[in-house]
Amino acid sequence: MIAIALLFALVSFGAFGLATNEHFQRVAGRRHSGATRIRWRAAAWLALAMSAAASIVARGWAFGPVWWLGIVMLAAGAVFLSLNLRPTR
Amino acid sequence: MSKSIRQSQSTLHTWSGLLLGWLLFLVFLTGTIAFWREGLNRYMRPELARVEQPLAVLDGAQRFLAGKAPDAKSWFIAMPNAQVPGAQLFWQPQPKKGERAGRRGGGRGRRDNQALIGADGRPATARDTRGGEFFYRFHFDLYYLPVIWARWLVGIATVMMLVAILTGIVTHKKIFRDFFTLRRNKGQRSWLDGHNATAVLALPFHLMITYTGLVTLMALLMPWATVATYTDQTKLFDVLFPHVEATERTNRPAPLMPLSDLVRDAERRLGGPIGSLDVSQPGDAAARVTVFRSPTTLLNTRAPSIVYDGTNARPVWQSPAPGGAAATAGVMIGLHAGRFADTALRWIYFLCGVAGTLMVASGLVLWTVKRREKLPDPAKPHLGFRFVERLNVAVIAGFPLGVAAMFWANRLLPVAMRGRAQWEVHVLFLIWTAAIVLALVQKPQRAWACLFALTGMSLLLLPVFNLVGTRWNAMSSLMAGDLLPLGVDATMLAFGAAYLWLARRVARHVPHSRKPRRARPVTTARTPLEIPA
Repeated sequence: MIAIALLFALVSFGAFGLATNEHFQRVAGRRHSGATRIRWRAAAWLALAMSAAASIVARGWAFGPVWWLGIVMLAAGAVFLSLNLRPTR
Repeated sequence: MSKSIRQSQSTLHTWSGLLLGWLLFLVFLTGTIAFWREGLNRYMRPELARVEQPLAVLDGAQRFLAGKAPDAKSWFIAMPNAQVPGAQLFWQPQPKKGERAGRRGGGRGRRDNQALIGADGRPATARDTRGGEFFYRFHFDLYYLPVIWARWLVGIATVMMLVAILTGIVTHKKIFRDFFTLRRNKGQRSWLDGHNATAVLALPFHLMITYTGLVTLMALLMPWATVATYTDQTKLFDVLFPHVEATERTNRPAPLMPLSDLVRDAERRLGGPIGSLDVSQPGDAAARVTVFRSPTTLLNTRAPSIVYDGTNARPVWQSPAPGGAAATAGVMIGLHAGRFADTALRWIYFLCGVAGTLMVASGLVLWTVKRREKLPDPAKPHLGFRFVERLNVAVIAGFPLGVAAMFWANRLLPVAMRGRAQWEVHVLFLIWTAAIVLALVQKPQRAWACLFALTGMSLLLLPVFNLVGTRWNAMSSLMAGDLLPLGVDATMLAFGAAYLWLARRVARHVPHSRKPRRARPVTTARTPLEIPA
């Protein structure tokens, strides 16, 4: 269950990252239109909420939030590094 | 108006970060390593096998104490488990006439009244080392300094840290919008992006660890609330750490029940694993055994306890549920130390700590990077600039070399050496002193590269030495199903490689000459990511 929470957090931050014009352009080759950007953001928030729910289901109300914050930081770091340290062409 | 507020916050951020930044770097680095306190306790005693049967070791501890100190005033036993090197014991002899008996006997003679029971239930002979405890204590007590001074210094630095974090959020207000941005090879911009990334990615951790760090020192830093409420310090102590008063010795001998039976019963009653036992008046009819629950499965670090009559194993007292304030403080300290964290969560703690250490280091370097461009003559910077620049090298590159040297000292110092554990620590500070001298006499760029390279080599070679030089190394313990030595060695390799990479980067770095700067504003106006690759 905690692995599922991590997966949601990774998806969430991946979506947050791709909601920025810079990274979206590098990956998709085009810029956001206003609507797609909001959709990416909404998906990111939804996934973030899902990861919080999964953490609390997995570890309870005492340790769940601690785990969730840990997982969120881990996922944010992983996405940050993979978006930025890809070899530049 | 808003600009001037931001500017004032920026000034505050710069100076609160710089003034005690070097101390903060040490505190962050050792605190981060201290998340592996128990693991390093084991790693630095490579002659000890892992404890597989804790209760059998506890029986061995009781046998040993009954033979060695049958009429002691008290015994203290840290409950063995697979994470610790063995059962650590302390005993306190009956006070002689005219001798004042302090609580728990104070520090007197403690070193002679201790032993370690190994995995086979017999007293173990391991090399004398402070292991991971050194990093834990240094994190708030420093070394060579009176403890109270050290804690005040660390406390003030922590307040500065909290100020730096809060003002940093205001100063770098774009950190949330530029969350995913890292502009590489762009000089000051890259440093700023890196500093922001390490800060914002682990921001919940930084806020939590700094605030709860202050909570651990609150009785020292802000004693007024307790002074106003409790005129008697011992009363406060009784509220925070409830316990029953020690019983008087009756001088009627009575056999002590097997402690392992008490532990089994206490685990059931307290609902979790046991951390330690305190036996008062063993072998006497008045014997009492206090069993403390281990905080490894509790968020609150102040674990409940239960007291047994030692002669018939009947529980006579159980600690009351803690009050709101005590529970809050206990939980905050628990969050800070992460004692409840299993290996996976501890890795997250550790990585966040690494991010925090990098944040402090990059902030310190940024101070020079930012000012270098504005220097009237970059070849001859003013005294303050040179001071900060060299001190950065001495601390950020020098201290890790000292830590690496301490790990080597742990392996190489002769086992029979007097004061061996202290000498391991002396080696750290001797090597660090040498590094500081190097940083002062060499040009900063060379000193950075040289110290990073030395640290990298030391960390890379240590696992190799372990394979040939120690009995319980990565390979042999892996065969026995123990992943710890392999994990620590692999971490050392990773950090060693990172330090070598850093050394190479620094050595190959060509500082910008001043001329190209005139052409640059055109490119810096647009972020490089907006330019199609």
